[in-house]
Amino acid sequence: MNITSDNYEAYFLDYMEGKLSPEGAAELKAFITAQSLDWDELTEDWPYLEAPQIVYENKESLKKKSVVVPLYVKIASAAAAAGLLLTIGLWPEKQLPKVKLMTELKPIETPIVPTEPNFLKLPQKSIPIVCPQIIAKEQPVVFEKTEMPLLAELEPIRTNVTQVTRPNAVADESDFEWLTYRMNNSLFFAPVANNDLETLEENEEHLSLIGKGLLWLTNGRHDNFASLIGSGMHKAKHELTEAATDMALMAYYRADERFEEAKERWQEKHEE
Amino acid sequence: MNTEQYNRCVEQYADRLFRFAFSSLRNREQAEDVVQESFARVWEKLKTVDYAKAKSYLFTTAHHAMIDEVRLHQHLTSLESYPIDELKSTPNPYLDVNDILHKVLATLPEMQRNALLLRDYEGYSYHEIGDITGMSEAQVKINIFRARTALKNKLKSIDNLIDIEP
Repeated sequence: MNITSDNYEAYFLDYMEGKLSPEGAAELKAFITAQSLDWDELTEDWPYLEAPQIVYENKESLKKKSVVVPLYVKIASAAAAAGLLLTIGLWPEKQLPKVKLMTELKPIETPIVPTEPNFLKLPQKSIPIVCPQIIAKEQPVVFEKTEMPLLAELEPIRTNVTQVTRPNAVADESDFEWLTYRMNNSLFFAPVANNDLETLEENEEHLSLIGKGLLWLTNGRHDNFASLIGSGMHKAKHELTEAATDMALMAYYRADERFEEAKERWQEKHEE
Repeated sequence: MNTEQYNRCVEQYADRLFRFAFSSLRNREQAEDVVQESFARVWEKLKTVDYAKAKSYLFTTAHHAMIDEVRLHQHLTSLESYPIDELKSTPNPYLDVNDILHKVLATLPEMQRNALLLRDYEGYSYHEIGDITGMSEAQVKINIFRARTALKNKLKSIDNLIDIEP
């Protein structure tokens, strides 16, 4: 054994667990004494943690359902595959169906709004076709208004900041900036003015316009992003995926047409 | 691993994973995040994660997620001062030693804390803890030694502060 000040702690742990030979223990004791450490004090009352009984109450939400394929479907699939192979095998080469070019194919519109009604409910006319990778999640984000941390409380989870300039996204014609927060696999986003969270809190006009858009998008559940994000964090963190975020983002973009209307209403209200 | 085995993992390890995360983070919501994150990762890698190694995979993911959580919430969790100060201000002679140990545990550096929890709660070997935390076996031992020493010293200092009548 070559005991040094860099490794004596590891050897000491072995000693305390009875894993050192008598010779090794003697060598360790000599080393510790030479370091002016109190051997008796080091070896007394060595504490161990006792594991408490703690139950994780949301096990069911973690579980997944198995997709059970009935036997008759398997048999039918196998038969169909076998039939297809047989058919192709027997088909004369010149009679094989032509493969069409992509450009010849008629695009099939893929609805990107989740079938579950709990997420952002968008009117059908605002379904964008520009982002087909968005997939409805098994468990939609359920926003509730009960837990609402302040936007400022989200700051600690920020690991990267992304700014997306969105001219015309808000009615005041200023560029629109988004802060993106990443926590584990989830993205959270919030609009900011002047890249400053506190400014957002203070900028009532800004919030008011966004709020109207959000109220519309979330069927009256949320009137600010802090609420939207906050409930996403506490209620369905693991479900608020990048796809869902993109969807919310795009939904928000599509709300632009309503912003002029929202702005007018807001102005009328405040002019009164 | 298949879906059935995944669900079995949830039954077998969710409590333990939550206990590990909660004991280290001392924050229920963050601990729940860690559990959800860990199982989400396993689900994503279902085809490649061997059922026999699922527990290690879960604890490894949880360990890294916890380090992220701690770093991201550093300003919220002033772990260095909170528990001891609390104990000093409200001395309770009937406080269980294990409770005190867990409070003091929160004051330790995260690597010491997690290594000790994996050792004492889950009974992992030093080698296994090294695999989970990315440390060498010697580093694991040193961290656990320092954790136990710190716990012992802080228990002693609390004993000195709390005047327990015989």
